[in-house]
This record gives sequence, structure tokens and C-alpha cells, in this order.
Amino acid sequence: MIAFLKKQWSKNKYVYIMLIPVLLYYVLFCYVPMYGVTIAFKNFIPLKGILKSPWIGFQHFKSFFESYYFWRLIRNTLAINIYSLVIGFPAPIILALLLNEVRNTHYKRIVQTVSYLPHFVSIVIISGMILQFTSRNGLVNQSLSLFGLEKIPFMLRPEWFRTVFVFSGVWQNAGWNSIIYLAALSNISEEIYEASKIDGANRWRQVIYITIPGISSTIIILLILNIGSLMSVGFEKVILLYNPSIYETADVISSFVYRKGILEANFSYSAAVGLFNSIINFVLLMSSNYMSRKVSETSLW
Amino acid sequence: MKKLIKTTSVLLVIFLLASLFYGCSKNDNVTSKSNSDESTTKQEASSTQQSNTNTNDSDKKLFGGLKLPIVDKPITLTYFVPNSYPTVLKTYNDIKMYQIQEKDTGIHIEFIHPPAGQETDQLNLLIASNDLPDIIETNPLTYPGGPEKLLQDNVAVEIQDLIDKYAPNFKNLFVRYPEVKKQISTDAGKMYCFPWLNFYDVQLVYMGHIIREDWLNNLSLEMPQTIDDWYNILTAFKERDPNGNGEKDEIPYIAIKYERLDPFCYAWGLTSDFYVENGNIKYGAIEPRFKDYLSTMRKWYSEGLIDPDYASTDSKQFDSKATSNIGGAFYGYSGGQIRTYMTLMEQNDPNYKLAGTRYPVLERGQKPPIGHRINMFYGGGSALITGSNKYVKETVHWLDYNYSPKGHMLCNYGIEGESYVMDNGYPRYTDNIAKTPNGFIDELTKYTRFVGNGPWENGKEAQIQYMAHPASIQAIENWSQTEKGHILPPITPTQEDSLRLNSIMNEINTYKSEMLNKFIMGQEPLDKYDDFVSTLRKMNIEKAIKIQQSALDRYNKR
Amino acid sequence: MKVKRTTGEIIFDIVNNIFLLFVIVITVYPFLYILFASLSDPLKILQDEKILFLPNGFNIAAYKAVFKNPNVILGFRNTLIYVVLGTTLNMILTMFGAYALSKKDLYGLKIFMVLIAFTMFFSGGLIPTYLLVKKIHFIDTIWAIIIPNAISTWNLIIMRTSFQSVPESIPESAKIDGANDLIILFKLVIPISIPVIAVIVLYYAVAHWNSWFNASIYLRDRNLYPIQLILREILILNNTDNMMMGTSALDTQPIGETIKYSTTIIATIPILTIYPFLQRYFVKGVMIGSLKE
Repeated sequence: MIAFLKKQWSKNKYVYIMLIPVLLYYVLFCYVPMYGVTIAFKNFIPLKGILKSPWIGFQHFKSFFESYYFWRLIRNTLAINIYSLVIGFPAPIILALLLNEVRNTHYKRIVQTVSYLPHFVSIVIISGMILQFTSRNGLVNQSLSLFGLEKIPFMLRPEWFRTVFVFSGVWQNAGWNSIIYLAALSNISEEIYEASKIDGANRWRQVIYITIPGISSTIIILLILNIGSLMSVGFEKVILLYNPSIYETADVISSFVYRKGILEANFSYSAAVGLFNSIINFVLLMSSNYMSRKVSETSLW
Repeated sequence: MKKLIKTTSVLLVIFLLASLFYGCSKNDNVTSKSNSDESTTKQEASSTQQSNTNTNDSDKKLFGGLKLPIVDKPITLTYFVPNSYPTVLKTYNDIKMYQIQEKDTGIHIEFIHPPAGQETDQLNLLIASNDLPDIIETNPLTYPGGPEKLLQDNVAVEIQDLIDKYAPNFKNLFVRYPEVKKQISTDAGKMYCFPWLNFYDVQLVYMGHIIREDWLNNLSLEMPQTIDDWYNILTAFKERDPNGNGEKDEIPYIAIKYERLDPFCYAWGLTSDFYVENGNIKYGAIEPRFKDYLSTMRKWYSEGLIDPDYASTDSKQFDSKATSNIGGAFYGYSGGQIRTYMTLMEQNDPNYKLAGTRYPVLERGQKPPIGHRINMFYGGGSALITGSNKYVKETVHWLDYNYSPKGHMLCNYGIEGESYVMDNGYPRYTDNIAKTPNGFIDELTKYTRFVGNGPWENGKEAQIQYMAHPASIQAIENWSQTEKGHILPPITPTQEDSLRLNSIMNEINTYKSEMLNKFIMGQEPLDKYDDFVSTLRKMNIEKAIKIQQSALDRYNKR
Repeated sequence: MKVKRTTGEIIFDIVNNIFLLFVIVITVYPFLYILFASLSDPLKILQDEKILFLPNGFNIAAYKAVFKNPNVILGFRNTLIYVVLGTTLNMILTMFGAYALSKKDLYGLKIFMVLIAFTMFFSGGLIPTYLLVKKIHFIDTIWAIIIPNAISTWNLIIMRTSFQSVPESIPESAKIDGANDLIILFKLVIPISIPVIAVIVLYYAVAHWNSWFNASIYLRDRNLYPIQLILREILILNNTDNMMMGTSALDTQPIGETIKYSTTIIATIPILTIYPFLQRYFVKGVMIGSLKE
């Protein structure tokens, strides 16, 4: 055993040296405070601190699971995120691929630069704009009436919320999210393209057989990571966009817990709900990682 | 490649240099404890020394029996409070009011200001890390578990006996307003804070129905008194083109979501939430006559008298509708709506006039049963003496200063001759405060913390002048004319009850707000109302009522 | 050699370019709106709710209101320092970690990956972290800003994925030539992976630029506040409904709305200016082939 470790060390000495500060960071700043997770099982008393607060076991979890709206909240959270994944995950990839096909470098750079701008605008302002566009006399409805279609009060109809939420997310983030794919694209060597042209491949075939496989590892890893946040919907955007008449589809776990927090700031309860979300997310991550390992060479572990 | 190494090394060098420069941690600025080492005077010793100092008649008039200075050797206390004016002040010690107070009392304050928006987080961290300052300003009513928990957690200490002995000015308030004593005590009779107090209508009432007075004049209509009057007026707004542009583009009643529509139910003698009737707690949404209110609103909505988009209107869209000749009436603030909009529109549209109307009633001649009103003890801006405070008695004296005659004038008006003058006994702010745009924020904050809340009695004349616009003052007068006694006083459920209550209410509030919108907008037929009520009962509304009732009973016995 | 485009390809190119033009229009709009609104008359912004093609009544009051705050310049200085120092530290640690974890034969690789990924989902929360930072005396120092978030696991994983795609032959032949892993990392792997490196630098730098939360809980001294925290304060204080006094902080001028926009512009323009410098590293066609040996 010792001999084995010694061999490892001598072979990869510098690698382990590089790893030390990294592991140190994780141990110190992630694992040392990890005892805070127990707050979900306690009745937190600030002055006693987390360690000395009394245990109440699964009471908070029970209270959450037995909530009248539990299933609706789960359904809405998952629905929004799956919808986001289906539409919002491919969008940046497609954008990157389209950009890749542009021959004029200047135009390419301009489009790329402008497309990420909305990412920098705060969600508060973006939400204000979304509400304005979707209002009865807003841009969208005015366009609809130009085509002779009936106006729709989008933010009053539960069936429209998810669409507005997801598509506005694409609008805001597709440009920014495409950056990593552009970087991956630039790693594909020109020589392969040249070689394929000699073999008579047209652009379309190049995309299918060279480009996409070339960035496949990036795509897969990002997909796994995104599946690992399926239970998390940022409450800020939801809160800014929703109203009680569309709670039916708009009220998600985080917004419900937020409203409870207004009534009473209860760390333990929100920690319990957060823990529940995290567990589900982690399980999803592990499953998608497992499947990815089976069908491709790319996986987290 | 060489370039890369070069850049990296340069960055590393910068990094190391900068770390040296910044790495030395700043001097600990929480050093109040070190000061406490030097003064070993026990509380008893300092009190015997004080009894011989400075008591003559003029001092009694200014300080109401408070003996000053409070200490012989200066001490420092730490005070946690958000800085509401970081653009004007770096620390509250820059405010003249605190400078004068320090001179008079001999106590120096070291302020701890959390960044705006992070007050609760910061406070929780301070508590959790056992780093409590000596004085905290916060809202004890919203502390998880309520004021009793605050005492239990030793975040605040009991001060009723100390107030009795050492806070003559504050004690005097109980004589003037006996109700206050009840409001700031726990059910067990313990006191835990020096609160921000409001006693006059102009402070306690600031919301109500607001209507375009010029539109009423254009159509020769009178101010509405009854619900039927409202119906007629709103219909007239819709049909008769009061903004005179030849188009029926008016929206008679606009609102930011259901909450600003809700106050119409007061006319039926209830609120949609908890209220008090003859010492009993009631919940409006399950009362039979609530259905009458709902059907009225439903009718109004179906006839286009209420903004069809009210349920999704945010404040930005609302501002736009209210100031662009579209909205005819709404529910809002005396300051934020009446004063602000009217001041804004003065140049652009001198015809724009807003007026606050009395709360409507069902039958002419009735007195409005319920209207907006806050409690004398609002909660926000209360000063607590914490469990780490080693100078509790001195702190009680120091906080009592604000309620003395001189302290009262200082906290509300500032310095005579500089920020206000006495005009036949009426304290009048100087023009650079009262007549300049933003004068209160830019100028008065150099003298006092009046614009905001804190441990003192809010000045009546100050509030009137702050309201500035005569239409605002008139609106408040109209809105104040309601019966009293229906609004919930600051009751405190027990810790266990409070957890249960909040769980129940989060679900009920969600359900209620969804359903009320559906009823009003016509998406749910009104004969489903009984199902709605029975669902509320299934959600344990009656348990919630019981919890509130027992809290109310305990409150009444305080 | 120039290959002729087929008709299908020409049509595709035209459609693609038009589509991308559409993308430009819809994504530049929010920013332009904010720019114009920040320069507009606050009253008109309050009243009108329409698309802006130009400032609606030219007015720089919103900018004056922000800059009269003496802390703004200080905030920029602080943020600049945090961005430079923070990103440097981030990159060093992340590159070390990504390289180490990309080695297939690393003993314990799987365990390390699981433990590190685990931290993306489960964390102790605000209070234990705060107590830790307090214990090691980082409170009120620059260290509290750049160390607790020194590594972003997400970025680490992305960089590692990129390092994994470096052909094995390269480090192997370098080892035969006598190079150790440090040299391999800095002289070979990083230059090959410049695009991803540039992107991760961008991610970290932007994160530092936008951050305010850590500063709000760990810093007491206002002189250390980053610009975002200062701007956030200005925003909150100009916009909150001051319920107690029955007023809204709009007070006598509705300047609150336009301040929202001017703070956005002030907060974002600087980071936008460094973007073109990084862009060249990851948009293909600009740095083609020169770094591949």
C-alpha cells in the first residue's frame, strides 16, 4: 500500500501539489461550515447558535410536505424548468452555431457583443419591460392587432405564464450563454474542416459531423449541470412577474417560501425546503451523470 | 508564450504587493468593550453622585426631571441602526441632534450602520455570533417569535422597572396616553423597548380613496359618500369623457393588484382579513356579508368600471395611468400619491387635482365603520437595550432624553434659529427645508432624524409640514372620520401559536388572493362562494381565529 | 482556396444574417431603452410607457443624483481592486484544480469529483460561513471578499472538461522531454485552451464586478464598499415606499425611476469596455491557428 502511494506521489508530484490549495479551500470554506445544514432539523435560536439549538427532526419537512399547495408547487417548479431546458438549453447552442457560419468577422463580433447585453440588465428592469410589453396595449398586443388577432392579457392568463417566463429567459441569457460554446467552437482545428472539404463535404455535413461532435463534451457537461438545477427556480424573477390571478402556474417553491418568510423570518423552514430541493437536484445530477457515462465518454465522474 | 509568462508574473507581483498593502486588517472598530474596562464605577455609585447635580427649574422644564449629565466620566455605547441617508451622511454622529445629545448627557455613541437592504441579515449575524451591540433599533413585532422571544433570547432586556425609576419623560407618556402602556408591553407586562410613537390622526392615517377632483367638477358631480354614489360616479367617468379629449379612454378605478381594491369592503363593516368586532376577532372573508361586497365589485368589474388589468398592474404602470389622464380614482397614500403627483403635475397640467374622499358607507348618513389607521406603537424604529449592554441604567436615561421637552424638539425640528423658528408657538421649518425640493432629505437630516422613525414621539406640526400639500392634509382629515376600535392592536401570539398561525396564513392568503380575483373578474361564479368559505375552514381559518383571539384577550388584560 | 457556394448555401447565409440582425435588434433594445431613459425627464418617464428611440426630454438629473454621492468614485476603485485580485486568485486555483482533476490516472479522482460536486448542492449557509470568516479575522478586510468564493465549482468543471480534451500525446511527449506537470500546464495546456480560459476569466471578472452581497455582510468600513453595494443603496433609498411616513420616497420628484436606469448604466459600462479585449480569444476567425503548435 505504502509503495503504491509512494509511486503515485513520484509520478504525479506536481499534480498533487497543485491540488493541495484547491482541496484546502473546499475543506475550509465548504466542509467546515457544512454543519449549518442541520439548521433544517432544528428550531433555530439565534443566540444559541446552530449547534446548540434544539432538534425538532423532520417537523419543517413535514410542514412543507403537508402543505395544501405542495404538489402544485413541485409541478410548477419542474414544469418551468423542464420547459426552460427544452427551449433555453438549445438556444445558445444554435445561436453559437449560426454565428459560426457568419463569414464576415466584424458582423460576427458585433452580433456576439450585442447579444449578451441583456444579461447585464438587472432582472428588476427586465421584468418591468416584460410586464410593459405584455400589457393590454403593449408591444406584443399591438403587433397582434396589426395582424388582426385578438389581444391577450398575458399576465392574467395562467396558461401563458410559463411561455413568457421561458422565452424572456432566452431573450435575456441566450447571448451570454452562447459564449462558452463559441469558445468550444474555436478549439476545433481548422485542419479537420479543410480535410473534409477535400472529401467533398458541404457546410451542412460539416456542422453535423465535425462541429457538433467537436463541442459535444461541452454540451453534455453543461446539460448535466443544468439538470442538476431542475428544482431551483430563482424566486426574484417569479416574484417580479407573477400576481395572484396566475398563481396556478406561476407560484413555485421559492416564491411560496418567500411569502412565508415575509410573515415570519424562519431560517429553519426555508433551510429545510432548500435542503429538500438540493437533495432532489443532486440525485438528478447523479442520474444524468450515470446515463452520460453509459452513452458517451463525457461525464463528471 | 513569453508574453503569457510575463503577464502572469506581473499579475502575481501586483497580487502580492496589494495583499501586503490591504492585508493588514483595519483597526477593530468595535471597541466599545475596551472603553468599558476603564470605568469601573458601579451603577449604584454613579447614581448617588448624580443626585447632587444640575437640578434647577429651567432644566426641569427642558428635561422633565432627567438629571444631566448622565455620567461623570464619558462612556461609549454601540448603537446598531440602518443609515437611511448615506448620500448625505456618513454616520449618524454627523447629525446635530446626536452631537447636542452627547454634550448634554456625556455619553458618546458609536454607530454601526448596516448597508441599506441588509438590516435583517446583519442583525441576525450579529446575534448569531454573540456580537450584540449595546442598543439595537429594529422592529420587535416582526422578530420571529415576537417580543417575548426577544426577551427570552436576551436580545432585549426587561426595562419596566428601570423606566419607572429612571425614565421620567417616557413614563409621563403613560399618563397622557394610557393605551400606549398596553401596546408596548408583553402579555406578562414586561417592557422591552423605547418605541417610535404617533398620537395624532395626521400621523396615524395616511391612506384612503383618492379621486380626480377636476373630473368631478367637469361633470358637475359631488364627492361620493355611499357605495351607490361611487357606482354612479365611476359610470359617469366611463361614459361622459371627463378628460375632455373626445374619447372614452378613461379607466374609472385603477389599482395596483387586489390590495388596493380591497378597502371598498370596509363599507360593509369588515376587512377581508382579521379585524375586531366587540372584542371578538373576526375574519372578513368568511363573513356572509362579504359576499355582498364581492358581488358589487364583480358588477363594477364587468361593467368596465375597474381597470380590467388591475390584477397584474405594477406600480410603474400604475404611476403612468394615474398621471396621464387615464385613471379617475384609486386608493393610495396622502404623501406618495396626492402630494407627489400633484406637485409633479403642477407645471404640466394645472387642472390636475386630487382629493381624498371619506371612506364610503352603505347608507347615507352612516359613519364609515373602518378606515386605514396604524397603531400608536408601530413597531419600526424601536430602540432595544440588549443583553450585552453593561450600562443599562445609563442607557435608559439616555433614551429617555428623546422624550423630554428639549429632546422632543431636537428630534423633530432640530435647532431653533437654524432649522426652525417659533412662530407664535408653532415650530416652523426654515424655507430651505420646507420650501425646497428634497429639502427634508437634504437639509433637515443634518439636524435630526425626523424623516424616518426612531425612539421618540413623532411631532404633530412636523408631520403636517412634511405632508406639505393642503390637499394631503385635507385628505387625511376626511379619511380619519371613521369609527374606531376595529383595527387589530399589536397583539402577540405565543411562540408556538405564532409558528402555527403563519403556516396556516401563508396558505390561506395564497388561496384567498387567487379566489378573490377570480370572483371579481368573473372567472368563478359567485354561487361557488360557499365552497370558497368551506375550503377556508378546511385550511384551519378557525384555528387561526382562535389563536388571534387568545392573543387579543391577553392583550386586553395587560 | 475559395469554394463556390451553392444556391442553398447562399439562401441560408442571407436568412441567417437577417435572423442575426433581428437578434441584434431585440437584444440591444433593453440597453438602449435604459440609456435613453436615464437621460430623460423623470416626469415623462413616469407618465409615458412607450418604446424609446431617443431620450424623452433630455435631462441628466439621474446621473447627478448618483454622482453627488462621494462614495461612488471610491466604490469604483474598490471594485477594480477586487476584480483584479479576485480574478487572479480564482484563475490560479481553478487552473490548478482543473488540470489536476483532468488527469485520468489521478488516485482518488472519482472521490474528489463527487466531494467537489457535492458542494454545489449542499452548503452550511450564511451563519456558519460568517462565523468562520469572523474566526479567522477576515471581517472588514479584502480577504473576506476574495477568499470565501475563491473557486466556483461550475467554472472548475467547465475548465476541467476543456483540459480533458487536450490530446494525451502532448503532455506525454513533453514528459518524455523531461517537463514536469507545472511546465506542461503553463506552457502547453493553457495556451491550447486559451478560448475557455478567456471565457472563465470573463465569468469570474463579471461575478466580482457584480457582487455586493459578500461585501454587505463582511465589511463594516464604508471605505471598502464595492460600487455595486453603493449603487444598490442609492437605488433602495430612492425607491422604497416609506410606509411609516405615508409617503413614497418619490418625494417631490419622481427621480427614483430614472435613477434605476442611471445606476444600471454606471454599473455596467465599465465591464462592457473590457469585453472586446477578451472576445478576440474566443470568437473563432480572429485568433485562428496562431497558438496551436
